[in-house]
Amino acid sequence: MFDYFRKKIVISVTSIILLVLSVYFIIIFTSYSALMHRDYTDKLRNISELYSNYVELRLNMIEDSALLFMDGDKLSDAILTHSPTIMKGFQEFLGSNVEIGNIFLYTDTEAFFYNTEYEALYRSYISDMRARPPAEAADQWMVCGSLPNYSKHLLYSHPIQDDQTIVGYLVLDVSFSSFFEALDMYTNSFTANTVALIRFPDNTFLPLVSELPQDILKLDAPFSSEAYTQSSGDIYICNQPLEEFDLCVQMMSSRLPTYKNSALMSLALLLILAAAAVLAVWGISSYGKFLTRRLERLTHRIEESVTDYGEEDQA
Amino acid sequence: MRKFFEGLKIRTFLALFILLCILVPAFSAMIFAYNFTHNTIDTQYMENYTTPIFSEIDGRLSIMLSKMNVFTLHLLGYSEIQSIVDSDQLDYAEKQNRLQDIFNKLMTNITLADSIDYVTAKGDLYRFGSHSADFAPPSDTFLRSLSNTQFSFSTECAKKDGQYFCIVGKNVRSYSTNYNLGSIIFYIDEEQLGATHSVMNSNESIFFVSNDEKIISHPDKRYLGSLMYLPTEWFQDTDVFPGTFKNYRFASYDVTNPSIANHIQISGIVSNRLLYATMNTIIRYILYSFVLTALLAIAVATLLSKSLIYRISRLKQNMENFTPDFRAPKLAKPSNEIAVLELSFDKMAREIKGLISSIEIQKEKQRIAELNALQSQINPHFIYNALDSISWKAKENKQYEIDDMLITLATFFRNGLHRGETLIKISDELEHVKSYLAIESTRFPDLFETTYDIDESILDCMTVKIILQPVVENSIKHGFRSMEKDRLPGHIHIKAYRENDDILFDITDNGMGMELKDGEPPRSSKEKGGYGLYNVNERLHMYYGDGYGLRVTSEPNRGTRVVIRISVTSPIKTDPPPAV
Repeated sequence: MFDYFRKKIVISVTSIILLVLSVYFIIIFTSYSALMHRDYTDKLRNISELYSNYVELRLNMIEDSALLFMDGDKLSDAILTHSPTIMKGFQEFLGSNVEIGNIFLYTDTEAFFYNTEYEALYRSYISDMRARPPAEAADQWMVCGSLPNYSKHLLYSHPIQDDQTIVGYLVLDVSFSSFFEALDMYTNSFTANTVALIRFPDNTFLPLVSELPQDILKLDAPFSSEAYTQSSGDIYICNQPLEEFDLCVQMMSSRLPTYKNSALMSLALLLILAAAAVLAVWGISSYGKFLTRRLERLTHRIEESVTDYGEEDQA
Repeated sequence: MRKFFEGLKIRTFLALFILLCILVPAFSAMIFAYNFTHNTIDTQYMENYTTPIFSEIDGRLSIMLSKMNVFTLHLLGYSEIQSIVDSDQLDYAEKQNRLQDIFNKLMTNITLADSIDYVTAKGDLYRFGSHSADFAPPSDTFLRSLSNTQFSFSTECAKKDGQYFCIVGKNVRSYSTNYNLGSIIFYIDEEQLGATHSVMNSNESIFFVSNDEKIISHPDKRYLGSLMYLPTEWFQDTDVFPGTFKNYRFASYDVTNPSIANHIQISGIVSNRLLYATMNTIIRYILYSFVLTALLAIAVATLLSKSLIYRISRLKQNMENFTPDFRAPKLAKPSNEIAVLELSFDKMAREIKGLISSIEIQKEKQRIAELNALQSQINPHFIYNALDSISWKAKENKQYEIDDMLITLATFFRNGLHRGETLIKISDELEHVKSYLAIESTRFPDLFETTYDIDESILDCMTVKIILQPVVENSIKHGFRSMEKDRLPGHIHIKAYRENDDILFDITDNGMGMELKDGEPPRSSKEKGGYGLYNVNERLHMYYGDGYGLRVTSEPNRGTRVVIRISVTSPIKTDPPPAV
């Protein structure tokens, strides 16, 4: 008889309990997600700072080494006189600089390669550089090579001067194995999902990892001299400029692995909510039945008393 | 349990139930969130906080060593150093000047150390750089400890103007000429080794570098050169490594660079407060939310429980406060069971109210009957004797008119009282009314005249007494007294006849008449007709049942007609009449 009343109690009580709990659980989940997000972006920023500091130090050292090598008039004299001592100088330089994989120099007319393994690549680079105006062919870092086999080369070009006149360029080809050796120290579960690269002003880039996920390549993260952290879908990009070298180090990381914890949290909260819902429905239904039974009894007693009186009255 | 529920108020139960169902899961979720977040931070502690800083310091060390290596290799490239050092023609000052040119050039190109000492194989010391003269010469012990292949860090630090320098050295030998150049000592700014992580707060975390357990780089310079320590106030049990301490965490990392001869260790101490700072903020938000949720739950539980049992509470209140004056509110639409229950209650209340009202009327009638019964107990003989004495006195004084009136009055009383009997013959009733009319005509001469049309066959039939006198009294009192004199005398016609098993008395007057409501006799003495007609009608109803009684028709200024219907057979009740 009191079905509607019982349903009303069950639905109202359960709904309000679930509503309040849902709001609270959303707050918990949002707070946790915010914490994870903040933690994630902090980590990304820290790792990118580590990488950029490392790259900055290494590039500084290579530049210092180049300056040291160029010290004095020996090299320019040797170039001008086509002296065979150039090769001896290259050998000494490479012997004392493990970060340098190869070295060559070129003038307007000639080129000297210590190692001819990548001569074709170097010649292509030289012809490209010769075509540029002298002002653009100053001291600079750049990348050459193609992506498919990731055989990119990080080159440092330093002008060779003789009485304020540029007579040629010394080019250092950085040894990847040595250059990136120390980066292994930074490897952890976070960097396993992270891609680091050096971005050049012409938007070419040099990956600092052996494998570069294709979805990262599709990202539009152009060179920028401003430090920033931004997201593109589930991929976060952190940009750290190296103004001294006119480069920037970019870290790109997918947040998907970090969603595992959020998923676990949401699953746990949903389970608690479901358990609360089941208990609430069971509890309030039982009490509702108990309540309606008593109300039904009361109704029958009232109705019976009224009916009895009516019958007596008629009699 | 059942008794507990039966004893608990519905509203209390609902409120407690809602509160518990909200607070228990909310509290569970809060505890889970705290532990889960705590666990997340714990498991990622090394990766997130310590390892990156160790890596950064190690990276700086690696770069520094590479630069020192480059420096020494380039130094070997300067063959003139050998001739300068071995020259017997140059004095110390000249040798210093010539070497200065070479070292300054190298120091300019390789930004590494503030000062460099060069100790020749013979033991001559040449010093270069801005602070070189301020430092104590390198100790023989340190010089003897230097290696030909690896760099050695001194356990001591050099100090100048509050700035500290790590002392690193190496023997330099040309492998091509097998010439022993001597030893090179670098004075490197200690802060080049130290690294502070961008997320780290120096008050909450310390990272330092030690060489063979002596600290060579530390944020607090007081500890430089001292033995590596773990503050006892922080770590009670230093055997646990790198486990979790009460408030701080300690971790260390051994540098495995092949260019270093010493055991270089990087150590870090991070406070839990720093580790959990962000988490605590979040937990605080969650805690505040829990408090708000609890308050919301209380409010919701109170309001919802109140609204759900509002009708039951109202019904209970109505039952508790039930009085005969109770007026049940009309329910617009009995849409649910509680409303039906309320209707049942209202119906019951109306029945009870009707019963109480009926009982009260019965009580009033009983009270009047008792009063009448008392009045009836007045000895009629006393009245008759008094009237008889007055009559004799009137006769002695030859006041025959008074004597006639007294006789008529005595007749009126005799018939009226009739020895207390309820039923009298119609002839006695007619004699009674005639006595009354005679008295009234004496009181008000020329006010009215009376005619009779009586079926003599009914004279012996029985009737309830005093049913005609109140009718003619009304005719005289209200019909004629206020009538214009030119219309006087008024006329009363009394007709009595039989109709099947009924006897009808038809009393007509041509008096002032009155306004009637639905032909019913007036109920109040304030109305025309007064209580007398109503009383007669009630008595007839009571004695003869429904269908019998008195019917009045009247028109203002035209007159009134009263028809009394009684049964020829005996009435259903023969008890004394309740009222006259």
